[in-house]
Amino acid sequence: MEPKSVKDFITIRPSRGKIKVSWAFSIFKKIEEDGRVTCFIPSFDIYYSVDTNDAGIIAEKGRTITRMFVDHFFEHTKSMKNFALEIHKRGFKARNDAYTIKEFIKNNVSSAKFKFEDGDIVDGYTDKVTQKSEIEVSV
Amino acid sequence: MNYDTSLFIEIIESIPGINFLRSDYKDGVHVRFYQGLLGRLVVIDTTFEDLTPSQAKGYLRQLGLDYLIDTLFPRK
Repeated sequence: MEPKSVKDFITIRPSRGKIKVSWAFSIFKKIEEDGRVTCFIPSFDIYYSVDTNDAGIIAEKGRTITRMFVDHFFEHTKSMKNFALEIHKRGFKARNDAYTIKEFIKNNVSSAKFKFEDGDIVDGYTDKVTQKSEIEVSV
Repeated sequence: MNYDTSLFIEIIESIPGINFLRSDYKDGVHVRFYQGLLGRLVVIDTTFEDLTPSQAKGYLRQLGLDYLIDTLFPRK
């Protein structure tokens, strides 16, 4: 069976002294024996679980947890360098990737779209659901 | 079989090289951020009292603690 492909991305757009961060991510789920549902977001490399198979609740928790991941860099470590390096390590790549990442590390932030290149999915997970989120942050 | 979340946290935090960074809460979701053995940033969902087996095994792999999968989740 061919691996399922994932079209996830993160975009960063400077706007009036702030930075708009948008992202799309895919959630794969696995229903456990007791009915709990394990969810996996390959691009962000995040696992979580919910106690229902309700697609809305699965998506909402995915949005919350990816938001907390993004917040970790912009609200707590306040570092574009760390964020750029982390998403690069997780497999998100921009056009002219090395140049773009090096500029971000120097805090020369321009509009960029980082696409997730690795589409391999862990065995046993099914039912891809794609979600989008967006926040505005200060760095 | 699910794994007790607080025990899971005690186990991973007892291992030298696993660094707890911070915890966060938003819209009913509790998470803890860790740096794993190879410096990997790992986000652990601690919302529920127990973790599903797939969730716990996934965290162990991310943290670089694969060897614990067989001992904490022995095959029947």
